[in-house]
Amino acid sequence: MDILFSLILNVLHFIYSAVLKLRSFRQRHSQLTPQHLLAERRRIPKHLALLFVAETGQDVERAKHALSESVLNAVEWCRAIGVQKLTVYEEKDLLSQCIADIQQGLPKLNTEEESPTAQQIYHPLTPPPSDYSDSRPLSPNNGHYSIPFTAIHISGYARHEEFQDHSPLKLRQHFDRDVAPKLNDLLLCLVSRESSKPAVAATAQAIAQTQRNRSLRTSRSQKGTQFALSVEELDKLLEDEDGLSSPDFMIVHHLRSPRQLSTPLELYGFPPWHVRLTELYHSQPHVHRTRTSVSPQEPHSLDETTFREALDEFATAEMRFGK
Amino acid sequence: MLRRGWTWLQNKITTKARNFVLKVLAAGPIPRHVGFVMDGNRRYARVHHKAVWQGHSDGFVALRRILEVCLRLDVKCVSAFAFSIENFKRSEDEVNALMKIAEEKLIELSSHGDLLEEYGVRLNIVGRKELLPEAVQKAVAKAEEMTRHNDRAILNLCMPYTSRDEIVTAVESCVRNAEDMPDEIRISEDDIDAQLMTTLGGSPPLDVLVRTSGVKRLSDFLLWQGCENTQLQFSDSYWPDFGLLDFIPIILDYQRKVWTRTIS
Repeated sequence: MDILFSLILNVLHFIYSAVLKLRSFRQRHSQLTPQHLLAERRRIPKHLALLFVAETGQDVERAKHALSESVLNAVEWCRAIGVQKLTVYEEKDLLSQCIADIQQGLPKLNTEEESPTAQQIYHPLTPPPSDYSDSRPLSPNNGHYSIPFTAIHISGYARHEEFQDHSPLKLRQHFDRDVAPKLNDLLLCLVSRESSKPAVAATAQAIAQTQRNRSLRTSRSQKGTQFALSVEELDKLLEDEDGLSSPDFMIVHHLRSPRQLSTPLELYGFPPWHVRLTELYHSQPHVHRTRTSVSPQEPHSLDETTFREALDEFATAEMRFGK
Repeated sequence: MLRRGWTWLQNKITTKARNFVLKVLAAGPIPRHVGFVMDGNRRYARVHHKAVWQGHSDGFVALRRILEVCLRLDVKCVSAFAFSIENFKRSEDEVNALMKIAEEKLIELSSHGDLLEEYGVRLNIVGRKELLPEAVQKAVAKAEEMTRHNDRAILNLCMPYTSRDEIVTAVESCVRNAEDMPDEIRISEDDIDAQLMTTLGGSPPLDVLVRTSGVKRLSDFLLWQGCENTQLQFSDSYWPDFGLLDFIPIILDYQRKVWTRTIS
C-alpha cells in the first residue's frame, strides 16, 4: 500500500512541476509592464533591503560579479527614487569580497561639483576587506558590542557618464537619459550572517559581562535583584540608524538563471530582530527583458524590471501593524 | 430528512477523500514544525457580512481543521499566532470578544475525547500569559494541565506573544545563567535558541511558516526560528477559508526542497 501511495505522490509531483513550469513560463512572458522607475508611487520604502542568494555550485567569481553589478545598479535606482538607506545582505559573506568592485563602481569624489560625492566606510565585515575601513567591531568582552557591517555614505550628484567610464562593471541603461535624474543621498549598508544571530548572542554576552563587572563593584546589599531586560533596551543595542536597522521592504533575489524553477521564499539567516515588520518580496526575474543566461548555473543580476515590479507591489501593500 | 442524509453522505465522502490525499502526501517528507499566522479573520467577517467576533470564531474552526490535517500528516509541532501583544491596542469590545473565545475554546480543545486527546497533543501557551485576564489565565492553566502528559505532538498557541519579546526573554535568561559561569562568559546563538519559549516547550526547528490573507510580513512571529532554513509561504486566502487545498502546494514545495537538497 505504501508503494502505491509513493507512486501516486510521484505522479502528483510530476503534475505540480508541470503546473509550476507553466506558471513560470507565463510569468516570464507576461506582457504586464511595471510602472516607470521614476513614476509617482503611493509609497516608496525609506529603507530597502536586498537579500541576495548565491546558489550552490555557481562559479564564485561570476556570482561576485553579478552581486556587485546588482548592488551598483540598485544604488542608482534607489538614489533616483529617493530611498534613503539600502541594506544589502548575502549569507556567505561574498559581499566583503565585492567591496573593492563596489567602491570602484560608485560615484567618484569630484571637487568641481557643487555638492561633492562622499563615501565613508565603518565597521568592516571581518576580515577587514579594504584600506577604506577605518574601524573594527569592538570585542564583546569590552562590555560593548558593535554589530559588524560596512556602511558607505553616498551623496551629491553623480555624473552618470563618468560613473560608467570609471566602473569596471558594465552598468545597463536604467532610465531615460533625457530625463536627468536628481540623485538623492543614500546610506549603503552591507551585512552578512555575522550580523544576524551571532550578533544577538554577542550582545547578550556583552550585557552579561557588564552585569558581572557591575556586580563586582556593587555592595552585597545591592545584590540579589534579578537582571531584567526590556524590548526597548535590547532594541537600542541592536538597532542603529547609521548601521544595521529594520528595513521597510526587502527584495529576496536569487542569483540564478530565471529559467530555473523558483524555490519557496526563505530568509537565509537575515538578522531576525530587524525583519519584524518588513514587507517581503520574492523576485521572479523576466528572462526576455534581461541579459539571457544560457546556462542554468549562470548567475543573474537583479534587473530593473524586477526592481520596479517590487516597488509597485510595496506601493499597494496593506499596512495595519496589529491594529 | 433527505437533505440531512445527503449532507451526511457528502461529509463522509469529503472526509474519505481528504484522508486519502493526506496518506499520499505522508508518503514523502513531512515538515516537523509548521507555524501559522492566522490573519484575515476580520476581513473575512467583513466580506461575509458577519460580526467581527464571528470572524474570529470561524478562525478557530479553521485552526481545528488545519490542526487535524497536520496531525494526520504526522507534523510533530504546530505553532499558531493567536494573539499579539500589539493586539491589545484593538478596541476593548474586540479584545474582550477574543478573550471570551479563547477561554471557551481552550477548554473545549483540550477536553476529553476532543482533538488534542485523540492525537496525543500537548498544548503549550507561548507568550506573556500574565497579560491575559484572570479567567483566561485559569483556562490556560487548566488546558495545559489536561494535556500535560500527551507526547505525540505539540500545539503552541502563541498568546499574547511577540517574537521580539520572546528573544528578549531568551537573552535575559542567558544573562542570568551567565552569572553562575565560573570563568569567562560565553553566550552563543545556540544558548539563546535553547532559551526560546518554543524550544523550552520541546518544539523542533521550524520548517514551514504560513501567513494567510495575502500579507507578506512576519509581523513579529517566530522571527528567530523562521529566519533560517524555514520555508515562508504567503497565502491569499483569509484564515477562516484556509484549508487542505491551500496546504497541499505548501507540502509539495517542502518535499521538493528536501529532495533537491538531498540530491545536491
